[in-house]
Amino acid sequence: MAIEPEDHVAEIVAAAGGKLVSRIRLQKIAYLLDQLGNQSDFDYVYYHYGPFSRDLENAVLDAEAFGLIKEEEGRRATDGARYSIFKLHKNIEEYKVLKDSKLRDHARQLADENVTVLELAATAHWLVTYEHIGDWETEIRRRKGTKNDGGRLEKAKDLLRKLHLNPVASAG
Amino acid sequence: MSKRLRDPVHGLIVFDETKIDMLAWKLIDTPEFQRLRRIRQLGVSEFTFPGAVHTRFTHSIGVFHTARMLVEVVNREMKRIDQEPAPEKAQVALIAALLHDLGHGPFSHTFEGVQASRGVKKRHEKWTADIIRSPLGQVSPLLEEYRAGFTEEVATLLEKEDPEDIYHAVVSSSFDADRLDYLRRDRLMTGTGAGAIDFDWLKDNIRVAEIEIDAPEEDEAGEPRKVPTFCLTEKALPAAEQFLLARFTLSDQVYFHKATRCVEHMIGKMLRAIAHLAAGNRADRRKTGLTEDHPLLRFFALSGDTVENYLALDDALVFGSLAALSKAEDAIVSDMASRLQRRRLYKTLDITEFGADQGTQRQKLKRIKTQFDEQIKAETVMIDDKGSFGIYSEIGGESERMHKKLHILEGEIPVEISKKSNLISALGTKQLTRVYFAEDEDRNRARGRGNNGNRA
Repeated sequence: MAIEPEDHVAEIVAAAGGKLVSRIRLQKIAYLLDQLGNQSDFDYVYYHYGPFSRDLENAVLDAEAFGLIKEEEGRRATDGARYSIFKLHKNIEEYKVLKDSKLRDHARQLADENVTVLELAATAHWLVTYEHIGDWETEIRRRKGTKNDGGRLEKAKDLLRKLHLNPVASAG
Repeated sequence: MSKRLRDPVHGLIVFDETKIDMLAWKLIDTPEFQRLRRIRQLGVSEFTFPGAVHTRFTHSIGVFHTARMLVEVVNREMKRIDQEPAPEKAQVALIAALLHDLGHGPFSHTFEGVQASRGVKKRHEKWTADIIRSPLGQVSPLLEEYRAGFTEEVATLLEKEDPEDIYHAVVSSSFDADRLDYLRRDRLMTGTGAGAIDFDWLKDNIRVAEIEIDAPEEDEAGEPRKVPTFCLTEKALPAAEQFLLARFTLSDQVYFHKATRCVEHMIGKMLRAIAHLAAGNRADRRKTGLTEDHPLLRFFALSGDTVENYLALDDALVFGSLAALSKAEDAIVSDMASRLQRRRLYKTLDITEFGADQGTQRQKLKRIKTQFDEQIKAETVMIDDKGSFGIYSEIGGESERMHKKLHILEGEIPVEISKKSNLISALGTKQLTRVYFAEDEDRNRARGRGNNGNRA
């Protein structure tokens, strides 16, 4: 069965419970799932919110164009800032990419995680794995500033620990 | 004695005898800054807009000049809300504004893409910080002479992704000095008439207010993080709409012009081939047509990506090497260099040619990818599907951060402009997908036409 890039998008939304809020959350979940063994072949670069894939953005476009998902717009009550809400438009009969139920469980858990915690977890992993920065904690504090405060960085570390992902997993 | 420069956007730019202006003047004279004379602000847009030969050198000086104006706005607004200005923070912002582009490589984003294809994920912002901090360079000694620890203050500000005080807004906000200079400069130098900016009115209507800095989502719990930044009064809403439209129009007509993007892809292909050969043996390196000590070969060699080697690279070096590269033994290098010298560009197919329906466009693109699989691997057919833009998003990047979004004050409450403006709300993201063909014949086949150009 041929696997298309848009299948990854649709299956992440399906595994998340049929609804996923925020484009940033979708990006970080896809990145973390790839580190956990999913093989999307998406290429990532470092951007405003950590690892970001233009390939994934294109896959979202395809998923929408081919009727697999729908994208709606939400607005934050306080300042009217817009965000995306992705909804599954066509049921997944059989998972082609997230065949491993553990990956689907991870997708579900990550979908409920705070988006900034996801950003910090993905960024920490990226700094160590792709930018080869040893003192990743100094670097993440330098780049992300107050985003790390309020216990968010600790939560990101906990998340990485639970997922058995670097840099926290290797630190024991 | 004060120093003066003439600038096509700002007119006379004066460097007074103040300590900070004199530091800026000395920094402009460093080799690191002078290198920016050889990096064009719009990369290869000059292939499409012949007047767009302005450099990051003139832009950076314009950003410094604009930053001084914004610091005055900050001081004005601090007075309005009974707060004391912080001159030391202002000095950091001014010098950060001047030096913000030091880390651009030749053809900027194209070069970053070449590096990424080699597994090197380092953005120009990181190069900027490394160049500022470099103990071998001439920037850091000047900064330390000004004030102990000043190097770190400037580099740290430029590395921070989110602002933490109002002085940071001078360098990073919806009205930062960079944006206020490049929008006007690019419009002027390309000769595009579209998108005027009512600068004086906008400046007069800037107010400082705290905005929510976290990315928006549903059901947000807890106290939101807030940061002061530049907002606009409601009286400036029409001017703010025009400001965002100017950016949108420049993206549409200039930054994403199909010929410009095509040239970027061709340069990327050439540089990737050079990088591949540079990492090989002496015989491989000779195939590039370059001398053994050429800066491109030094940089692309194993462990060659040092600050010193990076600073030896610029647009002028690459364009000046095209004659040698066009005689390269390597077929890709020689073909790309010859084509660039003579402006014999690949032929472009934009998938909007297949009609307005997105489903049809995406289906046709999939068909082209299958049909030209071998040529795509050989890069005689190149897919450009990383271009999209909206009122906020950047080239190939994700949505803008909250502090870069424009906020209008509803009373004293900052509201993101798309909630106030139907015009801005209606401007969605524009996705650009093009395919570039070495052979016109292949483009005809992709269009579904026979070799004679008739529809099959």
